[in-house]
Amino acid sequence: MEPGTQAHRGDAELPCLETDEGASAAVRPSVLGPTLVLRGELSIGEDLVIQGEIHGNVVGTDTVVIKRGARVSGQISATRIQFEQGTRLDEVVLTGSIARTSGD
Amino acid sequence: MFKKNEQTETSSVRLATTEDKIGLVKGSSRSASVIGPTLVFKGELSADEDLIIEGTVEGTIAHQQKNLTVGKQGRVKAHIHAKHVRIEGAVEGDVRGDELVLLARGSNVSGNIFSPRIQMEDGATFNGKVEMGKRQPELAVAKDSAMDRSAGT
Repeated sequence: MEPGTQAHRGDAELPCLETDEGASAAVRPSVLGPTLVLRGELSIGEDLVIQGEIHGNVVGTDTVVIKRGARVSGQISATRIQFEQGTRLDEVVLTGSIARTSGD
Repeated sequence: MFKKNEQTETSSVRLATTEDKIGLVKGSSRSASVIGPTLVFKGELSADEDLIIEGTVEGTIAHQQKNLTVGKQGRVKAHIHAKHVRIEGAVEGDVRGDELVLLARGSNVSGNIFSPRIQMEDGATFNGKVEMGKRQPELAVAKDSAMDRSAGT
């Protein structure tokens, strides 16, 4: 980068990291992508989409969606839990209203 | 029975709208994980994709090769390692950026920064040490000559 250019030039180099100013205050759903691996305790007050791995307990107040290819072990409690066919649930305790879908 | 089906239906509708919102926020189909503002996680986190943290993460973050953003509402108590690191929120821990670390206005970092390039906006708070490593002279020269050539034509 040339010296003297605006500090905001940094944003241009990180296009995928743009945070929408307007949307930041709004509810942003949490998505744990396919390469994400979490080991520990998680709590959340909004929708959660799990595509990766979670080993531990999840406490949610809204909907937890477990997508195809996800791996989960531990306890999940949420108002609604939805899981697709093809998810791997090891020793999982689900607490909440549960729906199973075939995915896309 | 009917009730259950109905529930599945509404759930899928919810999911669709959720994903639409993500699409809007990202503005692209590129995969990125989002840790939302109400999410609190304590433990080990590892990832091999872009990650935006707007929530609270305490523990360890093993994140490499990709971009990591700690958003305005993000609170991280962990050492961070990624290719590009952009911090708008609060971080307690060392920040390692293989290419760039950017501290945006309003960010608050307590810890050390290790990166060959560092950008700090006016209004960022930083307490710690910076290590940029050794400058690679060949790279700088190559860039300069390229600039000369483009300026000459």
